Amino acid sequence: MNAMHLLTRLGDVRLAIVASELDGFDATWAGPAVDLAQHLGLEVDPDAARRVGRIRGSDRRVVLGSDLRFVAVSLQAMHRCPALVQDHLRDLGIDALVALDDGFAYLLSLHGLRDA
Amino acid sequence: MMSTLREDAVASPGKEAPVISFLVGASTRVALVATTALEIVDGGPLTVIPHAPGHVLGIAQVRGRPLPVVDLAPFLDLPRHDRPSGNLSGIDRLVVVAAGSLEVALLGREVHVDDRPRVAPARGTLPYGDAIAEHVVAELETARGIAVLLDLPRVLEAARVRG
Repeated sequence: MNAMHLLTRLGDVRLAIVASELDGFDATWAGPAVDLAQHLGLEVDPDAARRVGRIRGSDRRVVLGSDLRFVAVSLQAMHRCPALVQDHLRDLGIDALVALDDGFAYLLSLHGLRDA
Repeated sequence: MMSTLREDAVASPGKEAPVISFLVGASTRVALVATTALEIVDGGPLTVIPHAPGHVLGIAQVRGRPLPVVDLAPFLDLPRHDRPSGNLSGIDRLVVVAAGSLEVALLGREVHVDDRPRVAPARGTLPYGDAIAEHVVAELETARGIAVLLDLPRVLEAARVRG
């Protein structure tokens, strides 16, 4: 069974977020929000248009990356993080990898950001 | 910098086992016991790992599964081979190895298998830096020249990226 995920790009890194963790988007948001680029320490194009996602069940918002698109991800495309880098990725909030046609996206859970 | 062998570093004559050897960095040939190598594949696209140390180049897709790609040259402080950052070049091969729970693709060139390498005569010191010395089991004479036989489980455990 496939599950919808949101893919977004932050510099050289692609993130996947389970779509049901989000409750819509805002083009702009003046209130507090967790910038995923800052959260992960990634450099992004300062001129890139970045939308703000609403975390379902929370007042929190997240500033996403660019190139947003939804994809259906099968269980076969989900992979555990390799043991050599598992602890490192877990510290970044990355639980798993999603195989794409040309590499991997990192599955980021927004759960830990609800109260960030 | 010169370094000394570990006290247990000299393999016993007659215990030679097949090894797989490959160039790491500019010109250092390293060897591993062949049974630790699962396969040799061509390089391909790499997925960058945020804030990973320099020896972890990224994650490659090998037969559909993700494997971290490790360059032993920076990890063992060996002279580097000029290569562009990002994706792997056409001469780069990935030697997929496993030890315990750790499965890794090691970056290498000129990969070669020796069925019966000989243990090189013991030298009091090795022409390598301290970073590699603790991982060297022995020096071997292979068909491609002298290779340093590494203690793979020890290397991979040391290369693990802690949280």
